[in-house]
Amino acid sequence: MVPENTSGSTGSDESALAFTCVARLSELEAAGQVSKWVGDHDLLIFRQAGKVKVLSNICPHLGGPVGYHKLKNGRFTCLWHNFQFSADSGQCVEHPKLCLREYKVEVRSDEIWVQLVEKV
Amino acid sequence: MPTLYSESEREMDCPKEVVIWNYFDHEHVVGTHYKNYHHVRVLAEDEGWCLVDRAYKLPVINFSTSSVGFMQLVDPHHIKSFQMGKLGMLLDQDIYFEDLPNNRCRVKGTYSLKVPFGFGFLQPLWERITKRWFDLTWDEDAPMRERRWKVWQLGFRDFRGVPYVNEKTKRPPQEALRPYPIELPTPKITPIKGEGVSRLFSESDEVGYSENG
Repeated sequence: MVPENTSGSTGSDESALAFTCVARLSELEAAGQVSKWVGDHDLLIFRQAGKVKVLSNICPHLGGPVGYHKLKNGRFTCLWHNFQFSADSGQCVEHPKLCLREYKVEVRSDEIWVQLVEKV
Repeated sequence: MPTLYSESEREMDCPKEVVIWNYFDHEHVVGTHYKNYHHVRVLAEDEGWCLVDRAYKLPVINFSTSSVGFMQLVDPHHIKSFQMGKLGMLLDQDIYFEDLPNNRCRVKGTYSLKVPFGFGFLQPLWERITKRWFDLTWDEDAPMRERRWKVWQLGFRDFRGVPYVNEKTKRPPQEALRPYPIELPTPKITPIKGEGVSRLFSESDEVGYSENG
């Protein structure tokens, strides 16, 4: 469990844009992925081809957990209705108009930092 | 004719409207309940009722079967259901919803099955199967309902997601709880009303729901 930290804040707008520490790399060791709520964001944190990526874990169909099942063949399968999403692009295989947001990520030492808000 | 009967009751941490949505969201049975349901097809539906063909495996006796069921939202506190299985007997089911404080609800399900004379001795087995079924599906549906209620309060829009997440902006302030409407039939973008939908797999490496959910 990693406490939510932010950095680089000098004012309210800048503070909102700051990166937040959401996990440690060690949390990815067991399954290669972990999902967790950080504030009002449900994050799907995973490693793909050696790179740490973070997608929204909220299926745009009806809100199901995209990362409930382990990543298989480069796709996540939402538990509720079996919609599949490319881990590479976040795009839904069956309905390309449905797409998961990809968050900006920075790995600092053994910590994973994510920018939850990019626009104010 | 003797009647086999059982009832089960549990409480939910969400309003009854979300539970009713869950009952009428037929597509999730081959997702959320992938271990028990094989296939589902909506044969017909309209405002407040549906006719659904489901294939599944019964617990306790580990028996794969299917049934065609009619389900009707009689009123916001009651769903009535009739199901006819392969053995030709009619399952009469009622689901009652009671509002509880703090956006919670109580759900009570009853199962009645008329059987031929001499088969009343099956009552204990009937209770084991139906109570196990109720608990199995409840344990898989409960986190689904709670999550649906949670994302709904975050402003979730069906087929679009959470606006502030997608737009990468701050969450807008929310002054009051967002009511959950009952809208039947539920909108669908799968072939469930055509050839139906099947589960993708029967076993999976599960990571689980999100932490802090």
